[in-house]
Amino acid sequence: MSVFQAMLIGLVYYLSNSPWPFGGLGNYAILYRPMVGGLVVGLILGNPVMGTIIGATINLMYIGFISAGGSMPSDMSLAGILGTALAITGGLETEAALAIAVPLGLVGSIFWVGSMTICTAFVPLADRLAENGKVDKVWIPNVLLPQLVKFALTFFPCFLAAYFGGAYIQGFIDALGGNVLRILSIIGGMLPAVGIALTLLAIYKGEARVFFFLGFLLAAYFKVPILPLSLIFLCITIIYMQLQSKSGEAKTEFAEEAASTEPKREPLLKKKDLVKSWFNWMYYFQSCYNYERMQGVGFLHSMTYIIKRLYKDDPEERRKAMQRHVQFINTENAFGSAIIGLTAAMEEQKAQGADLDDESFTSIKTGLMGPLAGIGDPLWQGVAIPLLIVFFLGMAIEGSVAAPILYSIVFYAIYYGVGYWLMKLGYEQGSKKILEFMESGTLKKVIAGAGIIGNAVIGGLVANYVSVKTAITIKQSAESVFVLQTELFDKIMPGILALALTMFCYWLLKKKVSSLKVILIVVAIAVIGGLIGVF
Amino acid sequence: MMKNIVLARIDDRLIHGQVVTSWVKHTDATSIVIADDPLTKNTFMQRLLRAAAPQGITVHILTREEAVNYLTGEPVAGENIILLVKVPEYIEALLDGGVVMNKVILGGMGAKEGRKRFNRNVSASPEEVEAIKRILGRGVEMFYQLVPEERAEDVKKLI
Repeated sequence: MSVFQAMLIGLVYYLSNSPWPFGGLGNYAILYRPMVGGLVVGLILGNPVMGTIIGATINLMYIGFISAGGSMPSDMSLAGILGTALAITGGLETEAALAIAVPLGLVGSIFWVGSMTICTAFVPLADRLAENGKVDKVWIPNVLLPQLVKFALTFFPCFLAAYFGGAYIQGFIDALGGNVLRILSIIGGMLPAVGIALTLLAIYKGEARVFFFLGFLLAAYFKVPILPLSLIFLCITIIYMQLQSKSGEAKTEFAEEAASTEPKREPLLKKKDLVKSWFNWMYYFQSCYNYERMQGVGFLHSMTYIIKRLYKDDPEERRKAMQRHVQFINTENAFGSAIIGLTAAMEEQKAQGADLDDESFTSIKTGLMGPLAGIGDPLWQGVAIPLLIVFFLGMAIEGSVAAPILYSIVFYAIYYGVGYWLMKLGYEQGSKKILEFMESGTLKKVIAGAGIIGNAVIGGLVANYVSVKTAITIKQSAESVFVLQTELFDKIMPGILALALTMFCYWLLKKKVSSLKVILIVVAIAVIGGLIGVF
Repeated sequence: MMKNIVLARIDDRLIHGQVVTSWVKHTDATSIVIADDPLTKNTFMQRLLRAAAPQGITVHILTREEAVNYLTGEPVAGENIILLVKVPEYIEALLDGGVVMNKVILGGMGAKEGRKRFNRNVSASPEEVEAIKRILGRGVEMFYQLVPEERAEDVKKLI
């Protein structure tokens, strides 16, 4: 790998953790995913097909991964980007690549905690700008400084690891010899069981459980690939939900406080102010994510166009508005767009003399931020991202470069479509409509329904991509050898060992064994089994 | 008598992503009890919180007295309760009322006027820090932990 290629790989890792080019959570759903990151690394190293295959295989570990509200248990972007780079340079098989990628993911989460800690230092600057009403300079604490820090934290380690790792990995692997590589492949074949079991932990519930086995059986016996399997079960999910009776919940009537935020006003804001504000939110909401205010500086940055328009000739009001929007906020990006729209509407009312004090802004923002994330986080990270990834994953593992690209386009369109719609809903119709939208039950039904299709495709993944094969043979006579795998297991049920391993991992996780320990247990099984000839 | 509390958590965002995606699943919770006096008078927020709870999870929003009565009531088989409060003072009030909690998770308290950084995303006023100390002094364990997948930090060491 050349220095230039290694630098580009470091840059991709930085970008996957930055707002560019797809936006805050957009990047997290697109470039951050090993399936997409693998393709980009493959392009840099001149082998996009291999990059896609390796990236998609690494992605198997992180399908049900959720980072909510500032928690980051593992960093799949480093696993995907650096893992793919090292695997391509070292000429590793995809399964062995997965085995080296997983530890990288554990290292990567350090950068996240580091960045959130350091970015706290930029909050006082944002406060000072707010005190002085300097609305045009908010990008400095929100984008410039935090992104410089993130660049330093992510680019250099990844660049150096890619360059030096790439230089030595070939020799290292040659020195390891065939047996170690064989065991690495056994580990890599088994590890997806842990990723899948982690996903099961979230969705293997109630009536949906049988669909896990249905998906597994269809894939194991009839070799149904993941894409058709997802489409079949999408239909089954819809049928299933139609058959379920509607639940009618009694709703208490509104008290006064909600009605007071209904927008009654002249439009002072131009459409482009709103769109630019919302766009800032989608891109930079988490640029200066820090432990003190979380997305507070990002929220202020989003409000700059609103503040500039409404309080152009009123420095005092501009100061006050800036100060009330640099406060603590922590919510989900696309659903949080509703707060952007609503806050813009309230500022518009206030600019026309409505009696809205700082407290009324704070209470509506802090009131909405939790519940919106309570729906948004599971919907995106628990439903939309994993299902769309799985939908395209089979194609990607077979080497289709189009798969990660299509995934990215589809996700970006849905995500920004929903965000824009919610921003407009908040701006035009106010808090009552946001509440009614959340109460409609459709969202909860989608989340619950996703359990059915999710279980089915996860079952399909086990049959397709968890690889456990026994090497045990029994000598029956001088000429005939009984091969346990092909002559017994494959005849009864192909993938039966993969299913057993996955359920074992699930059982361990259910017993509250940490995911790191489960990974180590699986590695131990693979190593010992590989050495004594069981696998 | 005591109902089965599987998680007691101080978190001023109450029901949000971490609670919905992680804690509810990790604890197999069947209901969420929120103890917060002002919320019992705010129907808008009550409806919002109910809308944010996952399907099948009942949400009870109670004053501190009601919460004490409810939690010290007859246990129901199979019931797993997540108790959420915004500030440590409510944990104290519930302990005073006879609610048994051996362990409290400190999840999040947003920065605002009068509060100083306590640990990561937890900010606390001097009074709130005192309340945390008093809770620890009663032998209740307290851990800072965002989600069950992350390591828990002993709050004793953070004081």
